Amino acid sequence: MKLLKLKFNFNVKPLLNYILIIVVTALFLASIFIALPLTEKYVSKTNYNLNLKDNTYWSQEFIVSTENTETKALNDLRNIFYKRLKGFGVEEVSTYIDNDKIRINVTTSKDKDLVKELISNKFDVKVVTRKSDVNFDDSENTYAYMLGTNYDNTEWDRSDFRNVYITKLRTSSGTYANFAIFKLWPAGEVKFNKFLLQYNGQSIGVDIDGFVTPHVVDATSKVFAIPISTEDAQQLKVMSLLYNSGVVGTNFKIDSQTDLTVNVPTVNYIQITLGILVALVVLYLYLFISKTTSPDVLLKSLLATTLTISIYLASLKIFQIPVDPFLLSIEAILAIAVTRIIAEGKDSVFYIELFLLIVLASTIFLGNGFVSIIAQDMLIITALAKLCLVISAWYINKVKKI
Amino acid sequence: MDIIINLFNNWTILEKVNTLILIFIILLVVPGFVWIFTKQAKLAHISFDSLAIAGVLTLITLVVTNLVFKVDITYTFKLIPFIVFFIVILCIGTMTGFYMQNHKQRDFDMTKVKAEAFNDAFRLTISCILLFTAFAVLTPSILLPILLSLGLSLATIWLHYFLVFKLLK
Repeated sequence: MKLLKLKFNFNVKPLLNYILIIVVTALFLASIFIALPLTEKYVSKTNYNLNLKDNTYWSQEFIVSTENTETKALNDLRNIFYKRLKGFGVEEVSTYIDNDKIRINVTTSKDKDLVKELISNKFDVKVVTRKSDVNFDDSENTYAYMLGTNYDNTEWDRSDFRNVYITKLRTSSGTYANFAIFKLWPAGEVKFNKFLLQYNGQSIGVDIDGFVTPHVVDATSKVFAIPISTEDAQQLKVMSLLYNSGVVGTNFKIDSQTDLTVNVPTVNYIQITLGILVALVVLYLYLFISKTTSPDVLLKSLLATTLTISIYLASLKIFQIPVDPFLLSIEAILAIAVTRIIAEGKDSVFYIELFLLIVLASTIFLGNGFVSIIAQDMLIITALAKLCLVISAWYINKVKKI
Repeated sequence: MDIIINLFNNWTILEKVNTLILIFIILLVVPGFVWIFTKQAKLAHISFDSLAIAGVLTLITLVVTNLVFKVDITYTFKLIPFIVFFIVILCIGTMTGFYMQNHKQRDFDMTKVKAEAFNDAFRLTISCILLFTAFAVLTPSILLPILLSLGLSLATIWLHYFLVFKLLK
């Protein structure tokens, strides 16, 4: 008896398309839902609050007096303070010279103690050798190896090294720890290696503001590094800034530290979301009624804008990235404007993106304070808008074919 | 003029150098690229003028706001130049894009660029008015900076169009 052969003439592609559209739609709706305010009231498993910097801001004025009160010395010190604070991400810094003292006004959400470390430490780095008349093995003075007074200065200090790089290195016990690697200027390498050869197998040290970290010289090693006792990322960042923001030429001290009123505006997140919704509805309703743009382009633009803002806000919530709410409102306006322009002007997209990339990238590195922060955010949002436009066009195309 | 003197004194040498380089990049590199792509000195000239006048207008507005209306120029006001330059870049980008897409057509002339510049200016104006107004109403703590940004953005959009209209023949 012949068995009947069953032939399945079944096209899998439309089914897969349906499934893909359903999955993508679910992702779109999820990102919109997460981006909306008050999500955290309905979903308790994960924290869907925006990590707002509003309540973490503080503002202080530091008055710093120096031994050398010449204008050049004061200006050099101001430059170093600015580099340190800007490098750490302090939102607003202003410094000025008043009666031969430096006034530093700081408004930031960063850790107070770490900011104070950046301002209070001279960080005078010198390579030192042990004094021959000091007993470092004295059991009654176990801290002798740490005191700068027990060491002799050498000709080597921070200015002889082009950079101090902090990274993890393998220790002798096989584990990894943080070290500060001193990288020499090429012209000084040979001379420094000769210096180290003199002390091969012996302990020398790196004196930082009178406290010494010992270093046992191994002439076979090409790396001159000292251990760092912290694992905290922020403290490591502070150390790197202290090492690399410049050599302070004069002694100084903080005379006073005064609290100031914080001048950062507070904006309600619900107000911003309402603003975005109202702005989108009013703008696209006007565009639809006035027929200035074709409905296809309008739909693509609306979907792309909604996705851009939703994905951006959802990412901020999921990764708990600290954010300033007043910046969010300005970013939303610019995001809606740029997405509309890019959606409508196919011929202009490359030029708009190129010019924005040049200006935003320059502002990130050369700008300061909130301007630098908003430039960084807008670069991400512009790239996201471009991606969302592509996704929107694909999505609308797929849905039309169903 | 106190605001400018204070600004100058409160900046370190590094900040002044960084700001000068940033202004150089915005005023020269962007028009430079416009010239490289379009080979039209007039379009590069319009780009430079739009950016330079936008910068000067923003500075004057902030000085007048501080001196005449006795408003403290806080951190939020420092974002106004960023917003204004962002809008100007959009205008320059659309102008360059339109020219590059259409200049090889047989019946192309600069009147088409002028017409397109008008349409772009009109669309951007409506967008800015609706967007900025919605946020100004709903976020009163930053009302004044948003309104100033709106005013300056509209001024620079139509300034750009005026330059296109007058300088392109």
